[in-house]
Amino acid sequence: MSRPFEQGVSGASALSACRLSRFAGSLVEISGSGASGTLSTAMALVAEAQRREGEVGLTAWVASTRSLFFPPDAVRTGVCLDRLILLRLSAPAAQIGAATRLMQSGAFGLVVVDLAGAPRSAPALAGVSRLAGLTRRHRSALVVLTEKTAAAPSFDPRVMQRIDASRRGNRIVVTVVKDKGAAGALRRRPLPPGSRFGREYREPAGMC
Amino acid sequence: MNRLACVDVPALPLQILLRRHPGWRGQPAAFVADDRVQARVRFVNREARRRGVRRGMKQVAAVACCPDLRIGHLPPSEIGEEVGRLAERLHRWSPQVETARPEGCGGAYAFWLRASGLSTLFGSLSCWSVALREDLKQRGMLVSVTVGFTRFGAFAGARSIFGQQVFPDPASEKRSTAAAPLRRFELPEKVLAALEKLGIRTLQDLLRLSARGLGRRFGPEAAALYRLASGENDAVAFRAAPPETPFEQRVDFEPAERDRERLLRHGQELLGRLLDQLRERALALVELTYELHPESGGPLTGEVRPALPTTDVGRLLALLRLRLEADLRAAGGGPTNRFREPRPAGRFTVFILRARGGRQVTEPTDLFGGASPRDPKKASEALARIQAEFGEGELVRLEIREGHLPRSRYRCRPIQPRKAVGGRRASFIGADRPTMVRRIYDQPLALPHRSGGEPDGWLLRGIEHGPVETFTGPYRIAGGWWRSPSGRSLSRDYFFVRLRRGDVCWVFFDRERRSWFLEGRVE
Repeated sequence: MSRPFEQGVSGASALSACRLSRFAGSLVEISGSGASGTLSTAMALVAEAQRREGEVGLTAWVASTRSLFFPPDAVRTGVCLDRLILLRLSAPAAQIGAATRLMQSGAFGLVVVDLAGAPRSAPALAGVSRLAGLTRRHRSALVVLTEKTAAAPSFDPRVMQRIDASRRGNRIVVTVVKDKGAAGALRRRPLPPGSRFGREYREPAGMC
Repeated sequence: MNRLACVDVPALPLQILLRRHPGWRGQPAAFVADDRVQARVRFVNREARRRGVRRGMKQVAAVACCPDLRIGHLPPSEIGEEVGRLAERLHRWSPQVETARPEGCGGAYAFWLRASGLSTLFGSLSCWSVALREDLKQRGMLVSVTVGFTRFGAFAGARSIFGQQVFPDPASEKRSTAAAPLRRFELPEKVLAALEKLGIRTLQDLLRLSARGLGRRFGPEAAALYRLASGENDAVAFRAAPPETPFEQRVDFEPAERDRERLLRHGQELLGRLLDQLRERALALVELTYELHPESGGPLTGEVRPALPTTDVGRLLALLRLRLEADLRAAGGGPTNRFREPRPAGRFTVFILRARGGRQVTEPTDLFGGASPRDPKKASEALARIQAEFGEGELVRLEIREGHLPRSRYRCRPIQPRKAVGGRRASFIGADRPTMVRRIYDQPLALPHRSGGEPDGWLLRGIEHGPVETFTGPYRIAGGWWRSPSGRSLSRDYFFVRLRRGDVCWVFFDRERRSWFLEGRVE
């Protein structure tokens, strides 16, 4: 059986590098530009969260009204669209506001906010510190997708983990840009910046 | 482990009729939907069945079949009142009682009671269910009682026997459910006949069929029963009572009101009055609509819906406040300063609140030991708040459809918060090796013109992304050519193009418009 994640330069367990258990209680940013693999990485997380829904909780995706993941691709990844709560809001501030409401409920184990393509000044960052607190309190993962290079700063200083997802052929390589680790009940050892992990993906129909 | 009991009242309307007409006992009797001669027979007693009267027959045919048939009908309000009285009586036997009508089970009337912890009071759950059944029998109502572990399991158990039973463990409940005869679930006679021809007589047999196309082949009742029996959404598949007529409260302002806070205070007062009206009728609020009439121009309208019918003024007021503030802000043209203070939205002369009531449904999750750390009820409430704050239409469900064009292969359908949380569970596929996901733009983006020849250095997304290096395609999609010459046909060539920076874009060439568009990209 092939391992979903292959170990790169890091000595940490490759299997846990981009898994939901690692993101629990964290505000996570997945960024990428050019040959980016942000959407695919996030969708694989959603599929994992749905498979473990009884243990993790509900899953929601907060998208913009400009673009959306292509639903047939999500289904092929293993996402059950009937179980995915999808919100479509026009402004990034509204997306953050909706994510806050979802997180407040404590019913969600994973919320993905797709801010790719949003203006650089957005979102209204006032709500982000609250979000970071909510993710810790409910041990949920809030994943924000952004479009930027690995060298660019995180969208907010309270981001606990940031990874850069880039595509190389039919592999998506995830590079840890920032990992603050976690203390207390959510204790987790941080991965050193630059740790890299790759995973094979199937290409969309027609692309080869 | 949580225990719950199902009290099934077979042919409730007919039982009411028989109680009213004691002389009908022992005689063939039937309940019909209304008093027309063409009305269908809904319920029949054993005597009538012995004489050949069947459910679904027209009244005139039933009389022809059995000339001394006693026939009666009741308005739905009277049946509803009896259901209310029964629920009230059942509250003496359990602290929590749910009333619902299982879909796909004809006219079944059933109640679910929380049975956990009652054995210490009554000696055993068996003693409790016998005593409960006797109590209702003394009130002229014959019922079946089954104590089980799941809603449908207990209901199927109650339908399978006429009496009382207690399942000692979930496995025995499952076995009993599988062996339950379909005839007990009041499916239409035609459907039963069609299923029996295929040798499908029990729930287990029905579950062996594929869910796909079941509704089309055997009707919606069979599909609904299948969904219930397969255990999907055990908690939510039962239909709540239909909503009632709207209630209205209004206030006229003289002079006209423009202050947002004062408007909200008036809203709170009106809401309180509406809830009093609803409580008098033992109803809960299903939907709240408001109308604000300005001095000039059309009224400002909106609506809020709680996740579940409720009479909780705090929760409703929070939703109303969110919705009203968003609408007033939009009407006023957005915030004016950095403190996000909204512009005044004008002066209003009338404020009307309308409430649609419905029967209060005990929230299903409460039966299972209160709120859990990941409580779906709280998710519904959060979604209701989001809808109130940001407007309807934001919460959608994606549906995959058959289609050729990428955009016709799915549909975004707005849904209600409660339905969003209770989606059907599907089997998961492709988990070991996921697929790269494309981003699709809501509107294809027009691309710069491409000069002929390849490689041609086509700067599809500007100089920073680099020129196009490879093309994969074309994948031609043509449609609409069968329409009249004046009708617009469609012909597109789809490509995946790789840019020098590494982006893989999903583009198409519209052959009719002779232009290139960006459909999406692989991310």
